[in-house]
Amino acid sequence: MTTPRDPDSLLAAYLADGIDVLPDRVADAVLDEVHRTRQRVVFGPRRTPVMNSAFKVILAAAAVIAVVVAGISLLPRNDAAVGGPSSDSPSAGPSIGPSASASPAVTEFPGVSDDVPPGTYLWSAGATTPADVTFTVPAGWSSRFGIPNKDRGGPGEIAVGNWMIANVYADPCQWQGSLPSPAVGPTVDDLATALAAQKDRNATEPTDVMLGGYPAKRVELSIPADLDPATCDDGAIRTWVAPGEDTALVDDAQNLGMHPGQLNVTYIVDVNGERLVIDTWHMPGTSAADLAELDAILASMRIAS
Amino acid sequence: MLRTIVEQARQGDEEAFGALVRAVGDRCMFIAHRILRDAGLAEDAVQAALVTVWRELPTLRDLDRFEAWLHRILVNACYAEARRDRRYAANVVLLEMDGPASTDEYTAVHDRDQLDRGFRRLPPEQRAILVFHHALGMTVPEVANHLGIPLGTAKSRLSYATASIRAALEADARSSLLDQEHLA
Repeated sequence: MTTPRDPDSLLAAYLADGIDVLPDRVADAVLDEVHRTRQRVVFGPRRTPVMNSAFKVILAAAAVIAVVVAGISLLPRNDAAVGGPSSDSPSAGPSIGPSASASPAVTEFPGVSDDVPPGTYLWSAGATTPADVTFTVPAGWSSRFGIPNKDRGGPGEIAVGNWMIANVYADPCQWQGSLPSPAVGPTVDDLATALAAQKDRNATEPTDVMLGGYPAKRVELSIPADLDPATCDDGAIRTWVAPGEDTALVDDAQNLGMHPGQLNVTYIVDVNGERLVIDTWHMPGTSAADLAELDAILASMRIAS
Repeated sequence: MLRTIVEQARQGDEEAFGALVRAVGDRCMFIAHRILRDAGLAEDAVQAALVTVWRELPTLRDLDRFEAWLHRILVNACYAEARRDRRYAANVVLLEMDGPASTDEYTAVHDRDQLDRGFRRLPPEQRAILVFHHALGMTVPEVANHLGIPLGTAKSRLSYATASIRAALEADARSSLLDQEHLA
């Protein structure tokens, strides 16, 4: 007679077993390294009160100039490059090469924050990107689920997120049962074609661009302004599913930034044969200044090899 | 108490940071070792995470969120170690030299081996979910908060990981049954 094999209790017992103590030599090594490591200097709100008005104006002007210069670099060109090094793009951003690994000094972009300090951040390789991605965010942006955004839920919402996508709903509104089987193929072209074919997305023809130093397809999509999400399956608009996701459980992430009237510009990047989707979205009420900031974020992106 | 230490360390007090390392180090090792199932990798992950914590502490605005912030850095360090060392997918099973004494013990060891195989096949993101949920006893929303991922993603990863583990056990049960039939 054997004991019943309950997976949850077996798993709990399995995970209870392991090393529970950090060896002293590791703690000592940490403290030794800490002694040689400078803490990050924060230029945050704590310094704001001592900033005089003239300095604020100068700082604001500098920020506007930086955004405009970065925005200009995103205007349509023959090579249609967005981000990454480019011989004709001196404003392409910091000197992190597209094949360089992300600097250990770059901070992971926060999962949740209502006020992300301006600076360069990292999306670490994992479930949502096949390679490290660094990018620079200006002041005034927030984070939700690790996605930089402004005016979330408001008339000027704008955001940029990173995704790995396994399959695409043929119909984002009546999405139940609309996942193709077999799933969308593994290439950038497969995914671009599937997105462009989504029902009621008014997609543009996918075009070739560069993003973060890698070739990509760019597709513009929209959600009809008169679409009432309440008429959709489960009252939600859904576009795609990530690898390994149980579609019955997908909720928050897939519904993020799915608003009637929304405009998406989606980049499907070929990172050495692996797909990375950089999806940007904004609303008709998003300001030109915020759109320029989004362009600057894209221009600053560097994808590690 | 911990809040005070964190605040002092955030101000650049290395002695306070030493106290912080002693306060959270064991917990970090507990988590890292369970995700990575390798002492060396876990030590490297904890070391990298704690140095990152020191460097980035001034950016932590809400001290009450220190634990979740620490866990997020630690888990990212575990992911990095797992990526650096592809052995995490290795199909290695270590059996006790003396072997089990009874059928129940045999089953327990056998189940553990199957779990170990199944667990090592999971991507580190799914392992982390299982560790935070089953070993630390966090609810799924708490896990999502600590890992900085959407609730839906946490649910999906947990569901997928649990299904994988269950499948590993069931596959083994089926093969055991077949073995028994062959022996009969």
